[in-house]
Amino acid sequence: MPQTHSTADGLARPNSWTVSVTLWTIVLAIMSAFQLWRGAYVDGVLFSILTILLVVDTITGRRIKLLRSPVVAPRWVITLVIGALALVLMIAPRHGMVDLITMVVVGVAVFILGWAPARPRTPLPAKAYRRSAITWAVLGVALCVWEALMFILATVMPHREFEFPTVSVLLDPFLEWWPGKVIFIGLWLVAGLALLRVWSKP
Amino acid sequence: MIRSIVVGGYLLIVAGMVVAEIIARSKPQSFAPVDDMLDNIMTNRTARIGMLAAWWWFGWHFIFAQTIDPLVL
Repeated sequence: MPQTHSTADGLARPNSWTVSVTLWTIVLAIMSAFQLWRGAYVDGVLFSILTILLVVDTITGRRIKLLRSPVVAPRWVITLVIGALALVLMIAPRHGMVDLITMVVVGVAVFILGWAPARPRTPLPAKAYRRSAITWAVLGVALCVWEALMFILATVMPHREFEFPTVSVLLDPFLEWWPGKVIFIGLWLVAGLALLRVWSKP
Repeated sequence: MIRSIVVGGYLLIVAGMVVAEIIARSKPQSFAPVDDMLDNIMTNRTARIGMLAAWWWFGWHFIFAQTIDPLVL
């Protein structure tokens, strides 16, 4: 079995169980288990399917292909799509059917775009990436552990729920306030756009 | 008191993220800014799908799903 790693084109060949892939797979598996444990079965099943799909893709040497190359679109198209999504999500009542359909459409589109090979990048020194990745991983894990701890404490001591707020409990009143919802949706869409990197250069 | 400590914990982590990014912006050659770091790790499909799934779930959870259980009396 040849020892190769994932490359910039995202088309890794066997054996691609690198430390990064292994850790991300573990994170997704933990996320699946946590969602199922807290009773969010739809979330849990979605994450489980995604985890299994990625495991199969890694085992088979990235043979599952949805798109041949990264998708790049003109900025006006991106702006139009994001603007329409923002408008729908901002106007539609929270937790409603329109939100459900929009979120499913966004999820499927992002999954297909995200599965495509990654775009080339301008590299920085490896040590800069390593330091940054470790720092952000520590901060991210700290946030997840703190949040999970509060959820568990609030679950086992329901009469003291106020003392152990999760992020959801803290953010929910802000999202029930219409300007807060608009701010959240705006930031969420911009973050997704930044992660996808589908826009073309001007 | 306990609630303040809990909220303080969240704020401390967020402050850590802000400080990390400020340091990264001033010394990108020794500490990569978050967008460059994400660009780097997202060359890998598993990491990319993991990040996008986390982002999507965040929106799903707060925009559509029931974020907090209704109060049981």
